[in-house]
Amino acid sequence: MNNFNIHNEVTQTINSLDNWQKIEPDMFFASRVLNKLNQSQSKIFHLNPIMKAAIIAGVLLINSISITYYILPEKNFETSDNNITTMIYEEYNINGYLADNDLIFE
Amino acid sequence: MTETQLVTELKKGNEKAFRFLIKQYKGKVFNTCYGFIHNKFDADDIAQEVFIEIYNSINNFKAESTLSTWIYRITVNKSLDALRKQKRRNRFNLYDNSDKEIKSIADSNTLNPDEIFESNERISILNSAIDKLPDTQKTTFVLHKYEQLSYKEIAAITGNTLSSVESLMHRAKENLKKHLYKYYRNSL
Repeated sequence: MNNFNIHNEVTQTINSLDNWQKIEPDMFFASRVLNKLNQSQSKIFHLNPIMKAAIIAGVLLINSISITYYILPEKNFETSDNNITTMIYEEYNINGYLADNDLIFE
Repeated sequence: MTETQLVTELKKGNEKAFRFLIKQYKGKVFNTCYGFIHNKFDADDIAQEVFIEIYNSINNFKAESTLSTWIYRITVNKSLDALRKQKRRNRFNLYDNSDKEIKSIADSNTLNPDEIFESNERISILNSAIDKLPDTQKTTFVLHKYEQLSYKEIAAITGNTLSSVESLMHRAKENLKKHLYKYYRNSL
């Protein structure tokens, strides 16, 4: 290929898109988009309002039970030095971290 | 349905309006994606993502530009993102061809059986050269050549001035010529 031919090829290649026939997706494109959209949205948004309310009420109930029976009683514990020491000692001992003759609480 | 009515219905989450939008814009979106990606399957995937993005962010559309400009903007961004992901994947590919000549890329990646059958080899060679352009030049060239948009429309989409679009187009052509001369000289 000589220089003249190369120049011609380059020019024709650059202009090869001048008569570009635009392409379109197939007829099922819209269905594919809607399927993908449904998949991308979380399933909870597809539930009816009654189910959504029931799920939210359930979560709130579990939270209120845990706050009333497990978190608040610990806060009301008498906090004298002796009680705290006993509590820590018992907890560690139950878990087997301390031997009976450990002297750290003396 | 006017553009304003369409946007209002889309903001309400009206599925019929969304189907109408897809029908109206699927050609523009798909063809633009193809201009960047040069592969029908990948272009289809990206075009789907574009419409999902439109659905999810229609409330952010403030009508400061036309709906068409806004959709083109999303399409360009999604296509460039996809190209970046493709490049990252290629970096981990043992058979990375990035340093080789255009022909090897054209042969391995962009010449699909349809294109060979239709004797569109020139377009495939040009596409391989387009891949080597910087993003701004690539965007300008693809929107002008594949979508046949005017410089004014491209300026609105890319947020550039009219003169910068003209300059980007000129530089894109010059860079393409350089790549193509190199390719045709090596094919002697």
